[in-house]
Amino acid sequence: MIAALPPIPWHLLAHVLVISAAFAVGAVVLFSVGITSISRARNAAGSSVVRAAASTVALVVTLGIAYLAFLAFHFIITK
Amino acid sequence: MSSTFLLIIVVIVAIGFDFTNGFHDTANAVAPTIATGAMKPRTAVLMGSVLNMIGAFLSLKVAATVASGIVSQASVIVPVVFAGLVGAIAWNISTWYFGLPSSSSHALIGGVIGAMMAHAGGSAVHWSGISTKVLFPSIAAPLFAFAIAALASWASRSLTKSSDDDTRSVGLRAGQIGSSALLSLAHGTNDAQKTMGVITLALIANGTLSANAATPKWTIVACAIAIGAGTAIGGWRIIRTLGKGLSSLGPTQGFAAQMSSASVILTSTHFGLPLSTTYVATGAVMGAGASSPESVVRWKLALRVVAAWFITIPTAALCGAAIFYVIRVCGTTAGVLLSCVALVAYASIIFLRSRQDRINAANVNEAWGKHFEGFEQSTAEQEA
Repeated sequence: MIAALPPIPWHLLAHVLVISAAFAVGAVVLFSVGITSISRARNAAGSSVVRAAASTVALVVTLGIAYLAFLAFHFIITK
Repeated sequence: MSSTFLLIIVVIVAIGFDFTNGFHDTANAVAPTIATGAMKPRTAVLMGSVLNMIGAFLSLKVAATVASGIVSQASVIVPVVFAGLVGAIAWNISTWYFGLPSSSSHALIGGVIGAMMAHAGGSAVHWSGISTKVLFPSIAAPLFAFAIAALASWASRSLTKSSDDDTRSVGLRAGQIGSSALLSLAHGTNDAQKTMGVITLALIANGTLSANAATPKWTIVACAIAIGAGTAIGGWRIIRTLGKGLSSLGPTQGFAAQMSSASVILTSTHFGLPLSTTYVATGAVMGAGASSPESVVRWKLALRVVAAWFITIPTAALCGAAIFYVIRVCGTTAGVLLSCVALVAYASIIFLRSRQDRINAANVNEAWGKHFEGFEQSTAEQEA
């Protein structure tokens, strides 16, 4: 009544694991680096204007990198 | 009963299932966000609702798998689909009452399998498709999510060690809002399609659509609205279990868990694998918690949840088969009406019982162990 089980689709599962891990860990690492950069910029010596400027630069760079990471993920997923 | 009338009832029940799927799975996307205070409970649920609705329009690959990969389309009759849906709704309502994050997808697939076996025997079920497209991915996905979330959580904790608490907390909570939004979108793309697949199956069985026909547009719109409305209600009991019960999450773990869940679900959706978003979200929450020395993972509760996972398909299948036998014995009209009355009565009893120990937006974040007397308290001692 029930046919023998087919082979496990390792190839497909491996694809899911590698792509998911690359995106999730990559995004979390980039975000964490961004947070640390902003924190260091805020705590750096100098006037409040310099600290604010450094924080803004760190934030913009982080968002830029995160956006590029998202584009890369989108490219991998849709190619 | 005319076939058109029966089809209309099946479509209504399917949309009802989609609604239960929405409130049952709200937790998957927003539980960590609510637990860490990154968003207010109602705001998080509302955001999840809108994004689930949008997500339903983004892909149809999983719908195609459900419509053609689970059972033989040639053997399906409309009462089989009806019985499968009733079995799945009954399981969803039961697990919601106990706050157990089990899989709505497996309940649906189990219900349809049970009804189909009662109707045409095991040969009408695509066991090969179920193994490769449902079982293996569903076992592997939570393990993947567990491992990826554990790694991501560890990486985030190590990298943000030198940053000040305020910046880290604000930054990671902002990240959680983004990842929660992504997860809601991913849930909509994956789960709403399963109901679309079942409605398509019913339309094919009724002869309204030809075999392997595409999902009609009205089905997509109806399923999107139903899952969005269900999500908006907020399945607070399961949100509480996932956000406060399984592990004590901080912003670092919450962000890592949600980003990992979103990645696994979106990637699987791309490959047309109808995996359980609930299992992925639960695996990720446990992985993120287990990798953090400051977090508590309540393994006793986790075991109960995993036990519920194992019995989901068999129980829903039994319910589906039982409903189908009722229809066969009583006749289609009487059987369908009797089943609908029984389902509404059961749902009403469960709802009234849940009011005695109500979980809502106001108390969802209270310390674990204060509600569900006997359920929470028996798993709370691990923290003590």
